[in-house]
Amino acid sequence: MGNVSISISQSSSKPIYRQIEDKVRSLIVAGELGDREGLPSIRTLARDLRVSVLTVKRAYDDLEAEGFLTSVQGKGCYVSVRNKELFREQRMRNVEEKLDDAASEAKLIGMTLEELQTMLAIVFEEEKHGTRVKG
Amino acid sequence: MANNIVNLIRKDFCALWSEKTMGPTFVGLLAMSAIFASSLTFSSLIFVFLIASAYTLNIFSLEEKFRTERFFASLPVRRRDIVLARYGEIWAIAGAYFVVAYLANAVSILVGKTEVRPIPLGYCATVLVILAFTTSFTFPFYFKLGPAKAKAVTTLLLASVMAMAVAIIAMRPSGGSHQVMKAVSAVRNSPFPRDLPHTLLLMGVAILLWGMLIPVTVALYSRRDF
Amino acid sequence: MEHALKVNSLSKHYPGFTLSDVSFGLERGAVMGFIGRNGAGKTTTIKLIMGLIRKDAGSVEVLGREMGRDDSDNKEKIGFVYDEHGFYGNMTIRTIGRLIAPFYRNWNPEEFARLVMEFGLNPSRKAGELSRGQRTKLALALALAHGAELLVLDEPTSGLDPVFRSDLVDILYCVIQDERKSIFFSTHNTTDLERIADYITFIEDGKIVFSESKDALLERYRIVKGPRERLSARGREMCVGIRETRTGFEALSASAEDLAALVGEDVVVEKANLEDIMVYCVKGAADGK
Repeated sequence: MGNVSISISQSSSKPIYRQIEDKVRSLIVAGELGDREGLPSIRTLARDLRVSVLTVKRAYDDLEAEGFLTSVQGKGCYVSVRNKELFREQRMRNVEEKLDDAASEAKLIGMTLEELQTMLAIVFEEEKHGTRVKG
Repeated sequence: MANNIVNLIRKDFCALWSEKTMGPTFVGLLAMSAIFASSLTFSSLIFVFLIASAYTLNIFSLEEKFRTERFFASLPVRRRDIVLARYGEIWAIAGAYFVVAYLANAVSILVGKTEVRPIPLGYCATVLVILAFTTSFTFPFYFKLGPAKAKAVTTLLLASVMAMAVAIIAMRPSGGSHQVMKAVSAVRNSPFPRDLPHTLLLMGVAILLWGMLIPVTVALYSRRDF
Repeated sequence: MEHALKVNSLSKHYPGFTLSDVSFGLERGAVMGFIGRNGAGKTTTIKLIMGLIRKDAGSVEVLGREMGRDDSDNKEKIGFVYDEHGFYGNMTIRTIGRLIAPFYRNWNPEEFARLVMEFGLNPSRKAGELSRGQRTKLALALALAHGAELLVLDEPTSGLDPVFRSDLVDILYCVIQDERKSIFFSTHNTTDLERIADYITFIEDGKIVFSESKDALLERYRIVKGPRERLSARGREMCVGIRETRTGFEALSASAEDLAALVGEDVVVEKANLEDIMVYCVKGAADGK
């Protein structure tokens, strides 16, 4: 079980269980939590995040229902992406979110759609060839 | 059950001993009184009353000071055991008193002090009756009302008895009712029975008194609200 | 699932105060916060659970078994931390441990020593020399060293500083790593519970107002703020409790979105915490809702 980095905000309007779900889901989708990798136990995570056990349990139960986790009696929860389509859909949603961010930024400084598309093409190529240095 | 009673007795004795002045003072007083028993006087019996009063006042005042009642009521211990342990402590003290008294008695006789007589059973019976009476003045109040509220009443009662005892010693033949003087002298000169029938009678009184007192105090404590 | 603690219709009458029909249940392996004002009946309820006072009606079950008044068997499994600690002041921590040990069948002396050390206590110190927080930690060590499955804490943090309170919550988090252990924790300081509690039971004036999941509570209620003039009678009905000032109104509502829509302009909707819920519930009851 690797070190999982999850942080939640007490003051955010998003319910805590939802924040945990989103964080774990994005970790899985980003590949930081690999298939069949173990998650922290419900009680350990509750202690580390300083939230209640029931909250973590709800997050894990929801993720299990969505098809991202499997729980094994006596052993804990493991990543097990059962629903490949849902997985892809999640990843695509991620991309869309990021493009949204890029578009907002671009609009802010007055970039045109063509300039943005050019930039995207370059970045995509660099990414493909592994020459991109993440700033 | 017996286990818990022993544990509770040990707890109380430890608590008393841990109080730097109370513990050794009490033990010293007990030892001295027991040695004094060989004198077989009314005064030596007063000391028995003193020891019982001192122990009772001490142990309950500790409970009041540190508010331990509630704590022990939340342990897996029955209320009945808590009460029985207190009586057990009095009996343990009586036992220690007798052991030391007889030892001192034997030593004095062996050493050759001719004025010392062996302590007769009548004396022991009287000691038990005194203890039974003392506990009947104190325990019911403490178990029903708790140490804080019972303190005033019991101190008053004990002080009255003590005052009467001192008066009996101090009384000189002068004026006053002749009947009272005769009674006082009788008690002062012969504070305990010398013959078997009266000894057994007195033992019976002690046993009867405790026999009635113990169930009553157990019931009182069982009904107590903290 | 077996309840760790189940209270059924407990009642107790005093001349100035009545506890009536108190019922709630705590699942095994869960943490329940018992909140209420001073004098609302928290301590009375706990005393009834522990058999320290006689009940007028109702029953208590601990770990599936009915709890009799003088029930020493059940008390083996309960660890109790009270806010007044009954330790003989001149006894050392070590001695106290040794004196208490024989009362419990499952006393673990190594566990006691480990806990004492972990809580930062010196076993040779006398109980009377400990600070209030340290005495609470000692009580906790005693409560945990005999294999208790239900921990009952009556206002363990009252009068203690935030650092201690945080320490205590850390300790409780460690306790619940064992899923067989359940915790029942009364306090009028809700920030302690905000995070660790799974369930919240709120008592006011001797009656249970609610007993449910903390997450559900925090999701359901919101604080709605807006201009006074825009709060209609229908709007008022949607509020559990309202506070009105010259600058506007603040209210707790279970249907915040509807209320906000009703108010229309200048409205703010915020998360409510446990303290808000408690305060507005009490206020609403006082205002005659």
